[in-house]
Amino acid sequence: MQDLLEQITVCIERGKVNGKSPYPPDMRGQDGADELVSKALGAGVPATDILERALIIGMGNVGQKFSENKVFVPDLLMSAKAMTAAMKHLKPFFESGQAKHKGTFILGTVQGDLHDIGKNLVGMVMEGGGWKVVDLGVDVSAEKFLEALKQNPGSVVGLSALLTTTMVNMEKTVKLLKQHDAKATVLVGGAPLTNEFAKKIGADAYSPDPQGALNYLTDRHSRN
Amino acid sequence: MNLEEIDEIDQWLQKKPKLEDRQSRDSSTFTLKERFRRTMFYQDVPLRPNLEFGYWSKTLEVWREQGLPESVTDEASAYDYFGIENWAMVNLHANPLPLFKHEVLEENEERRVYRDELGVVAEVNKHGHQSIPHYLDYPIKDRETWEPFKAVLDPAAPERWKNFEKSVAELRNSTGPVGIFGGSLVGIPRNLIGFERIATMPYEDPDLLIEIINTFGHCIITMLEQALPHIQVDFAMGWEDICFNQGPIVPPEFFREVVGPWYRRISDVLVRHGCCVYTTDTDGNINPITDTFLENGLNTMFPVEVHAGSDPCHLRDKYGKRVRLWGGVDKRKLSDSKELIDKELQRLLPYVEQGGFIPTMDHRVPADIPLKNYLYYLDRKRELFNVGGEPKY
Repeated sequence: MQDLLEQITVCIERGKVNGKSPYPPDMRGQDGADELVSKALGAGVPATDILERALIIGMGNVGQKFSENKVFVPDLLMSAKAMTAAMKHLKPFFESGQAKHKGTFILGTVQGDLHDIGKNLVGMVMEGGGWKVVDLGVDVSAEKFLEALKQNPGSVVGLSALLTTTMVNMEKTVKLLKQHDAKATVLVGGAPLTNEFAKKIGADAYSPDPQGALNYLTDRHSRN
Repeated sequence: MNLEEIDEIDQWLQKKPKLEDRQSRDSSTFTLKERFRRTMFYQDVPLRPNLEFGYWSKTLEVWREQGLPESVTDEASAYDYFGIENWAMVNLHANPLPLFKHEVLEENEERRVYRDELGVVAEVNKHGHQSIPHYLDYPIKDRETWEPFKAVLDPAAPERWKNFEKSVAELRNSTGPVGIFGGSLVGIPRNLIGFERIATMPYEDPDLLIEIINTFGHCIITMLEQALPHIQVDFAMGWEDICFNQGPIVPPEFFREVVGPWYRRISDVLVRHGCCVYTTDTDGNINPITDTFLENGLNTMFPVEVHAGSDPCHLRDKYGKRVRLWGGVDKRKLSDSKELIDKELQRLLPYVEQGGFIPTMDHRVPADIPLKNYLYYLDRKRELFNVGGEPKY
């Protein structure tokens, strides 16, 4: 079983989606995440083990390398594709409650801002880290974030902005969410942001890259 | 011509007599064009060029509420008012010609969804907050949808050349720096393919992406070959915009193997026609692909976005005078205090003094920068960096 889980981890980390996938060239013709997860489930490996001992580890490895500039956006996207292929098999187990997400992560680009590339990358890494992602899209009002938080109590909220002019809407959103629930966790990210800005607007954390956000939540989770 | 030969040109130019050794020429007689060229060739220069990147549309609107005269309504009037000098570009249309009629697909009070002339479907916020639209669909999905674009990338198409002669006639005797388009090998294709797809194409469908890049490369190089004998340009500027804070959207190895040789071919043509300053507009963290740029003759980094990790001082420390710099003033410092603006300019000063560096803000000026800070920045830039331009404020 361990061998199979290790193979799945490698497929996720290296972005090997399925047997037909030409990438990576040195794994051509081999089974990918798609076939191996199916095989593992068929062999009786619990879905939770596949998630926690293979998928999350593989995605975490690539996320870490990404934040260290050892791999780049294309590699992260290939890993996310492999992850999607794997998660397709696990979906029924989440629906039946046999497998559980680590939590819910509400994500969106703040009002006035239509950029979504950074947000989407964060969503992929959070999903790869075992979180259920509720993606509200772009140009999301503070009220819409609040509504999503009310529908998903206890969720973590991630706010994205690319424009310095829309960063001000982050402050408004953080304020509204904290007014509703002072314990609500709000993370912020985006090209023009800084740690100082995050502190100033009352956000719980800022990360310059997706893995940093995931690591923050993992650390916090392990402390609680 | 290879990199070593280009370096030899630089060395030869640097051996020319320094200004103080010359007897007669008054510094005020140097044109902006000469000042640009001397700066970029590390020669002494009486006044450095005072260039800037421009403004987001919202910025001037906000500044008018802070005291900017009502007459300053666009970039040209702003440059005139702030005393910023400018360059001009030869009209060389090397991008795909229109394939569709621009069409509004959906519109309400908040946003407009449209399909542009190349088939990209996008939405824009009608209240002016956007810098780029939110893209919803892209025309190139596979080999079949790519086919029609080959025809609109024909370098000989007469529509491409209709404004060229007039532009050359206007710019041939320009006293300011004259640039020419230096190509877009990944940036424009990205706009037609979509970010997520082009990012993974080097892994999943490399042959098609290489064909697309080669077609764009063939178009620009053929046009440059035909255009450059008609006008002496001072620089070439391409457009890529392909880096994020975490580096490029295509793998650096692919960029080196496939895109790099096109830069080499383009830079060879440029150098053959006396243009030794070649840059491309790429925001974000360029560090993983800077070697590829420099090895292939693309020798000037622009706009050197500091917060994203592209620091002009680090680049110069690493590459020495092989790398020319255009940009590199951290815009975030301008939204803060005068002390931080001073600190940023002082940090850059020794590097600016080395030459081969035209300091400008590292992107358009965003609206959160107060007008008073911007004016302070311009004043300090003049004092510290000894740049030209005559302000009217």
